[in-house]
Amino acid sequence: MVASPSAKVDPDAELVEKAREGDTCAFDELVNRHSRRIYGLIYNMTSNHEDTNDLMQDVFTRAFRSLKRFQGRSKFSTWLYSVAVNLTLNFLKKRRRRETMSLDDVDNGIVNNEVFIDLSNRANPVQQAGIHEIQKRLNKALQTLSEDHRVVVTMFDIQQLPHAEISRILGVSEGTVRSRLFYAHRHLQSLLGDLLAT
Amino acid sequence: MSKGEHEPDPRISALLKLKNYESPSDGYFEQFSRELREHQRSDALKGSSFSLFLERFLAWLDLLGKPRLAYGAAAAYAVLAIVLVIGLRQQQGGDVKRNPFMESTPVSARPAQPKQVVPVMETLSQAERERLAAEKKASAAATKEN
Repeated sequence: MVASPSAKVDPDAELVEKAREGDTCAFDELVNRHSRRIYGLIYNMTSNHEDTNDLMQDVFTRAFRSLKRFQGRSKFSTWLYSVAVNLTLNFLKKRRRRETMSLDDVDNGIVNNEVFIDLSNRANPVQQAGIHEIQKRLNKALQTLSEDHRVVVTMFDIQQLPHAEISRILGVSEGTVRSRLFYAHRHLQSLLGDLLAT
Repeated sequence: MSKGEHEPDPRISALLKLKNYESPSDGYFEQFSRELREHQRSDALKGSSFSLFLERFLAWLDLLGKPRLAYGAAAAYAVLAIVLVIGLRQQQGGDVKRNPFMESTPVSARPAQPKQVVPVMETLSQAERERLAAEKKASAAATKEN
């Protein structure tokens, strides 16, 4: 593996090295570490649990197969994210060609999460609206964004990744990330304006 | 573009953070991990010998550290082989292009070849043309007199 400054601080480096040598337990540990974040990324891109589950299998299977080709020039998590983003974007392109997805098909996700309900009720801008309605509207609004904009919003706003990390994952400049974010927010503002605190 | 020019809206960010609390049911990730292991095991068993060979070959190329050079050399060899094959075929067939229809059809059943019409070129000089015209005129006058 080619050592680089980012690889030196990569908390996954040791596990990656073991997994490359064929240690399946090390790869399992990598899956455990990253599956929640990757799930969040794919779910917020597709808004569908079944599709997310299928794509999760594809992402980790691809990662396992390609691990020997991973040069360690970036952090493992960055590399894994880029695998997930590429596979998800390809999937969304195919899905768009196959059918024009009805927004009613958007998965309503998990509505009984106590923390989610509690936070939603406490949050001032959403006090008056029902939890189902907010969730539906957020998902629908996200689905109206272009895929390039949605992936940036998902990584920045939902997963709270810094601009620099997003630019590395997507292979675009930080300026492009900021610009996409700005236009995506402007679009979301027009759709969700009534939910926002004044 | 300056950083301040395209600042994200913090209210939208706050609203979208709510989506962090959407998560799959309890036990999903444990089940996912199990399914992934099973999937990998069955994948390894199903993999054909050729795909395994290809995978190992690509991994070996990567280990060389200069995969681009290797791919470039392979591409060059492929182009050379194609050029040789085409050259040999042309040598065997001469200048005549091989027509599979003509080869497999008896001569009697072949469609008649269209005849080539060669346009007649004007070869008479101006003086000859004038002489011929005068002769024609004279013979016409003689015929009239008769």
